[in-house]
Amino acid sequence: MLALLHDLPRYWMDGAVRTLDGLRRGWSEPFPLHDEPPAVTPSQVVYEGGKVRLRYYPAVGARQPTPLLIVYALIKRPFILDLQPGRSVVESLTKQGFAVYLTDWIPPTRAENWRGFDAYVNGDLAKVVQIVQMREDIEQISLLGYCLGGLLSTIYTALHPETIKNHIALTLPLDMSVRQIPLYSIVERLSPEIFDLITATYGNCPAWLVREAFTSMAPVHHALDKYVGLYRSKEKEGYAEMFDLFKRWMNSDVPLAGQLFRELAKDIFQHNLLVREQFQVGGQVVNLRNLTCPVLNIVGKYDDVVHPQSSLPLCGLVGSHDTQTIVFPTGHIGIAVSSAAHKDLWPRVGAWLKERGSKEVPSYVA
Amino acid sequence: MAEQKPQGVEDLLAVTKMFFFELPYAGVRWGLGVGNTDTATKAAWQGYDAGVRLATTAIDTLYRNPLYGELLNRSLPGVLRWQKLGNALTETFFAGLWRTMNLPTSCEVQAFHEELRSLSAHLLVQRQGSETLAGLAADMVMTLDLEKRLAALETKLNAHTPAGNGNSLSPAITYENLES
Repeated sequence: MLALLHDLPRYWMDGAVRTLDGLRRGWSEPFPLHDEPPAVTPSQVVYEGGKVRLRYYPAVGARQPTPLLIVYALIKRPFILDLQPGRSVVESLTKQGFAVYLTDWIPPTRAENWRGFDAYVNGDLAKVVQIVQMREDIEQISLLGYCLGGLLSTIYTALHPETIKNHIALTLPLDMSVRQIPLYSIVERLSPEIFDLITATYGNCPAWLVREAFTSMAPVHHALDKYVGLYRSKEKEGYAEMFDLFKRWMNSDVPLAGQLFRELAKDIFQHNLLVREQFQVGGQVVNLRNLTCPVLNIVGKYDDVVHPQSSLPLCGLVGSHDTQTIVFPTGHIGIAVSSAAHKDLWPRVGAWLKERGSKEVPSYVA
Repeated sequence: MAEQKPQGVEDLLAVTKMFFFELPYAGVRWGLGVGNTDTATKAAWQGYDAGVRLATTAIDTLYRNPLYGELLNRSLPGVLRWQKLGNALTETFFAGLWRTMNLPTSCEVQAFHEELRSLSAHLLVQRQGSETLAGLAADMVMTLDLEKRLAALETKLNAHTPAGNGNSLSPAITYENLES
């Protein structure tokens, strides 16, 4: 008991210092990107333009014919996908023979608050797909989108189906009429004026606001319980190191471009226009029926950020005849970093891609 | 909601039981030297877990309450407008102040750093290029010099050598070659 009273404040204070540092970075402009842990898997930047840097991770061993482009989310930094040896999505896929490319989004400055889905999907994402096609000398690539990155990649594939061979969605926030997560009940009630005022006041949606939104989803956990959990698990090998890396990622919020924030909050979240086939990007309606390539939908059973019921409808809405849903017993982040996911899920993803990885353009592509 | 109530009641009972019964009981036993701290520690952790669940449920219930949502909806526009006004005043004041004191803003310093970095990279490339060029030029000069000397030698040779003897070098020329 005395040890608890002695050790617990220390754990909490370490977390508090890192939280304050995250706030400091969230208030900075331009956003400092230098405070990231060293990468696990070697990569090189093969392209930088717009607000995206394209990282290339070469395949290890026998190379699969179709490269994979991972579209990361626009919030927080992407090193969660390459966190630790044995818990790295990128490492797992490269070891299965895939040449992996990753979108390393550059945080927008205030002057870039005009950027919306059109700029990110038809601009940056289209460009990086083109770069991968040129580098790999291939017409179609495989695409994997994580969370908000999954939304971008799904919209891209619906608008440009001829460039995509296989599409994987990981914890995709699709059907936003689902209100199982309590915080979403509040966001539903906010008037559209508030989102406009946020961007009018700050330019973009500031990093600290994104951070506080995530913290508000489970305030008791983030303020206290996770530090108590660290204390209780201090005997577990590797737990403290993993906790530290995870905490660094949790404090790596970046600003969300103003126009994108407004479209996300009003069109996607409040009015659910994407599922209702009324969402427009660049003047074009996004029709998920245009997604005719093989689709793998991966859902976290215990996801408390994107409720599973929000992700599940994907396979029923696309036009593909080759669809599969995997509901994996893990949370939103565990799907990328848990040892269970790396033991079971990611080999299955690799096998799914290998089955559909030949260079031939399939007949169902128009 | 009906399913959550029993869990909430259970958690409340667990917390109450911990504070009012189990911890005092374990404390008395420990004080009397009868028990150890393990029972108290176990009870404390159970109570803590129940307390966390209770707090989380309370916050989730608050979030789902329409009144709370309405309260935020009414207060946030005002807060944001005042924030916007404050930001505008601050930016105007400091923009004026910086200009008065002839100090650059952080954006200007950042842009300056970026330009400096770009110029440094450019200069490095230029320097490497010019080193290569300088090397080439030096090679060319040396080559030209050698060619000149060769031509001068041949001229001397042609002036000194008798026609048709097949020997292109006289001892005098060879001696000069060695000296030069």
